[in-house]
Amino acid sequence: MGEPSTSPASAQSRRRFLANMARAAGGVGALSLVVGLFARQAQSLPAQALRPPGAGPEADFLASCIRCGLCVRDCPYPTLSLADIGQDVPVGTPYFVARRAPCEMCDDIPCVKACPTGALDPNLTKIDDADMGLAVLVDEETCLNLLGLRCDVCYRVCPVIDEAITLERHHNERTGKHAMFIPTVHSDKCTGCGKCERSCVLETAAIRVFPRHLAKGRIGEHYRLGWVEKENNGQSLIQGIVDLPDRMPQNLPFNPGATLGGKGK
Amino acid sequence: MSITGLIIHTAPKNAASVQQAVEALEGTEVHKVTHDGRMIVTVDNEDDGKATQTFDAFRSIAGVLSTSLVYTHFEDDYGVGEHQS
Amino acid sequence: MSISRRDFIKTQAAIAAATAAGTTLSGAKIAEAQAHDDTIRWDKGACRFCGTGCGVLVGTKQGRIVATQGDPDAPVNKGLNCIKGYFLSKIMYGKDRLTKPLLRKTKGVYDKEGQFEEVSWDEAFDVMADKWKEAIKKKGPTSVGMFGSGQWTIWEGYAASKFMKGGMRSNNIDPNARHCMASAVGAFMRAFGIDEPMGCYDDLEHADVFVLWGANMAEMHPILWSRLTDTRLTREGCEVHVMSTFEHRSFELADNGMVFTPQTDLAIANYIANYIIQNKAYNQDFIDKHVNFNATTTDIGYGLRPEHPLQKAAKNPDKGKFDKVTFDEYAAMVAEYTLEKTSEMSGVPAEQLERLAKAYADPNKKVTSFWTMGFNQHTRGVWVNGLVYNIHLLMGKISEPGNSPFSLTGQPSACGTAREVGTFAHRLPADLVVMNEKHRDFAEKVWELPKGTIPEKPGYHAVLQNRMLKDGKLNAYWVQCNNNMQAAANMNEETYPGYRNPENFITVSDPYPTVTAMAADLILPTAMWMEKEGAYGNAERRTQFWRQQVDAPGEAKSDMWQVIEFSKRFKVEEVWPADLIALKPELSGKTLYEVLFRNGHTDKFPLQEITDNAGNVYNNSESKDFGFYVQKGIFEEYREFQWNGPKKGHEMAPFEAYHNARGLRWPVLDGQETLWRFREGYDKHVKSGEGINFYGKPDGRAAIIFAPFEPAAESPDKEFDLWLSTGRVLEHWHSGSMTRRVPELYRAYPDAKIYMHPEDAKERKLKRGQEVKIQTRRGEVTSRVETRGRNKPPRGLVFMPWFDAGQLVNKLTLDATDPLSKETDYKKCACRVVRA
Repeated sequence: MGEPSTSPASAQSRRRFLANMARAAGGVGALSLVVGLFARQAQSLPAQALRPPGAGPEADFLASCIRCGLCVRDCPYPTLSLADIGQDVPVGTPYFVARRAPCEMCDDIPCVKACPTGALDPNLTKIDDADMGLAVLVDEETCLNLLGLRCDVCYRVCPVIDEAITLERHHNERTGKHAMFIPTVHSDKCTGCGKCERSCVLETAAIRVFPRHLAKGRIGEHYRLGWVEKENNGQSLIQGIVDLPDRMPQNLPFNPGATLGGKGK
Repeated sequence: MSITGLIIHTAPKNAASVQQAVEALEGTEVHKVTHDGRMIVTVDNEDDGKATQTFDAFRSIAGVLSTSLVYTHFEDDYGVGEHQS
Repeated sequence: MSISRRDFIKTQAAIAAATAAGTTLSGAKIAEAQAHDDTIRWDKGACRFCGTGCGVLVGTKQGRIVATQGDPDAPVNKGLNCIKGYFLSKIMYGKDRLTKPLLRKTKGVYDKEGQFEEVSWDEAFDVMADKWKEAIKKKGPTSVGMFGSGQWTIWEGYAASKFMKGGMRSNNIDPNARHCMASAVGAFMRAFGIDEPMGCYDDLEHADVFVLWGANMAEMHPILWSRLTDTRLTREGCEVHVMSTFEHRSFELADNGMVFTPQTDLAIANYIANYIIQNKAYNQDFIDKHVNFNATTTDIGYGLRPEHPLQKAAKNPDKGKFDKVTFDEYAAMVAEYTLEKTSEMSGVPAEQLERLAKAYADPNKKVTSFWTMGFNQHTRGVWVNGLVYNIHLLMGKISEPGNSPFSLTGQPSACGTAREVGTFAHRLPADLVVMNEKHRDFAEKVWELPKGTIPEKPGYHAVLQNRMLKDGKLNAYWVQCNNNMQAAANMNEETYPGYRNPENFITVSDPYPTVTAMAADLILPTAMWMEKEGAYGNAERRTQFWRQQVDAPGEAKSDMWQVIEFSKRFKVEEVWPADLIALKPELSGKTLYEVLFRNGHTDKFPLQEITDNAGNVYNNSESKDFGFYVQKGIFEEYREFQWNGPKKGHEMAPFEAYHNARGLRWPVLDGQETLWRFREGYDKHVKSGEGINFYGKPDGRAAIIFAPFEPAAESPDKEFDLWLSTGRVLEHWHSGSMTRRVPELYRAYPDAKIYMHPEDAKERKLKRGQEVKIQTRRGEVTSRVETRGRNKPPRGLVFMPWFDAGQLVNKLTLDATDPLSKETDYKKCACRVVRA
């Protein structure tokens, strides 16, 4: 539904509009209008509100953040703001909305340096280690690259390009002669800065950044990926196994190209 | 552009007349009327000033019990953040 | 705001309200609101941006383009677009579209130092014509000039060229394609005697090996890149080699990515030829039958002003002469470029160079080479283009599916208009040139002008135009369909002083108030893209037409209308000498409009109702204004050059054929397109039994032309210690005058920044995102440092895109050109970067 506004000008218009609305409705409508407004915001804000780099789990962060606003003051971009009354983010705490202004990933992380309490972890010295959230390609039906177009803006704006987002190449069956470039987020490298969501050219972003707990699935402890385990181990986890040779026709010319089965890594 | 989605509450017996009155206003559209008298309405206006007048008008329709705003969308008809040079 | 978007939002509003009320809306209701609006009229067109030439369908409703789509049946793009093409429907509707002529005035009269005021077309043309007549009277026809475009439609370019060369008798007309394709043209003419690639995009599906020489196709030709990538994915053994002076997005696909020291591409290409010869891999039969060997004149300078020290130091400034040599002599010349030496010069590891050479030398691998601005914007651009032809010719890997040296273009009609129509200072339609008397005679015959009307001497080329403006030798100047104040190199020292020289009167025609328009004395509001009937020619020789879909806003008029209307202001007596008129006395007293356009020849097709096959009726503003079918008249006259002229090979189909086709690749003979030229079976001009015939050359043989490595015009030194390369990004097209007006594209890449190696930044104590000044001997620009992201320059080189009117990188670039093609090298000059 309602996108966070994308510029101060439109934010202003919206505020003016809402003020007018409240005035206009008056009487019978007033209360339900106001309630409706808050309800709408309550629905839309939490998943979009991201914490500055270095913020730990929400409970810990809230416990140690003293709402001083110094991180917001030292942010050189219009990224961070303090939550206001009526928002579902606890009042006075810093947050940002990627679609409006993403984290620019400053090398020297001034917001963390400004934090007097360690709510933003002072041990975070490399911005690439930040974990503000995780980008997710939420809509595969409207993402232009999944339709075969050459947008890939999210990929090219990624400060950790080729690591946090890669383009996986697939054959476009419909045209028969073009490749599709599928933006693929890698959770171990994505910092959740939100540049991708900010720059998505769609009217509603198809790629969005969510707090990691909302964005990431988890595989059960009871199952391991055999090929990963093998690679980590350097060899098969079991040793001393014998493989008998296959009986093959003797007279046919050997054709090394005619191997069976699939290929790939 | 200003587009608003809202619910108008009315008594079921008045629903038909209210719907007629609502639809007579500029930019309004009634999408559904539930059997218990709730009306799903959108208001589509060029600017918020006109929208304001429309909401005023809702109040004066006989049979309207209350209105609840659910959705608002406002934007300049020109894109935001556009570079001008 | 499109209606469909409004409906969409409204549906969202209704659904939200229904959800809150605990009810649902019926599916039909939602579907109805979101339904495809079938009152949209769809018609075919070509994308407005690069030289790929993607086919699009344009959706019009109530006189406004409300949507576009990739044409799913267009052979180039099969319904796809890049992100610029996705936003085509928005480029005409920027809120600062110009709708009235604007003239600088003080107290009601023209004043070069005055402020822009709205004027009528009459007043605009009155003042402009006065200035042009005054210039011609004082200094003759070389004092008037025009700077046009590879974005002009075919007939716009033709009308402008005819007006300038045949009407004003000035060859001072050049297109912005001088900045992008001139080196490619030069090399085509030298090697093959005829312009444009022999292959076509189908090479993308047929090659085993792709080599990118100075082209970042991943960003600049996004749809072709997706075809190349698909072949890499699906074709067994396919490999991709990418060369550039910095790592860019195309390296992501590269099997062999090579970052070389600027200018050493000359050495690398010669090394490959040397490798082929040393290993006797060349195609002896092909060489014997189809190739000549030559060596070019060396030490030719850098196309700078004659008094520049580099120009004075050159032994053979501007000399393009090449002389025949034997195969052995040629072999001895390239022998200098050994693997060791080339690796050392270029900084590319030997094994990578060798891998590339082996790919070319393997007789069983089909190789397609691509290049664009990395080669063309090069002080040895003609040479280096030619060095790649040498490789392909040595191997005979040319003119057949998958074996293709392929020069790509950056503008939608750099080929179709600038090159084919010949809007360069030395060219005439269909590959003719003004220096050749027979060619001039032929043009004068078609144009029904007295012999001697077209001057023999080539006019001022793009860079020279700016110098002559500054020097006060070019005084009345008209810029159409380009943004040269943002494009031309060395803006501070040449372009701006030239435009603002009090002796000069500058007219700029544009849909938007660009940097160039704002520097003018008169701005003419211009109809763009679908606001006129048009035709473009893409890089694979495909000519594509479209009908006028909508009317232009306000009083905006197409470039062609402006030229033809302006020609009404001149009587032949005002621009021609009496002895010339005496050769054709029936022309005396006539206006140039009557001589050039309303002459019983160009205007032979009467007004007609323009319809498509579905019966929809389209407007044609120019034809209505002039009272005849202008576009058809001009195109059919242009075809006389193709079919009856002294040079064969450019034949196009009749006008109507193009309105009924998704583009046709010339030469179009016997109702068939030509996909691969010069080869029997594919090209009708090659007779049975010839196999190959490079018929652009009198002897049917292509020219292998040796050219050595020579250094760049300006290299980093102690004071200016970094290479500066400029270029584009996918999101914006050229100077950004269209794409920066699309909010989504602006948001995707708002402002230019300077890409730098992290260690170079650290050494200068610069942080990522910090504001910096980039300085060269010519100027200074402020930008922000980027040490991450899409481009990864090596140490010692910085890259900056030029789309941003707020950061005019052309204040920094050097106006050194290839002395042969006169094309500027935007890829190499020396700069330094300091904290702002």
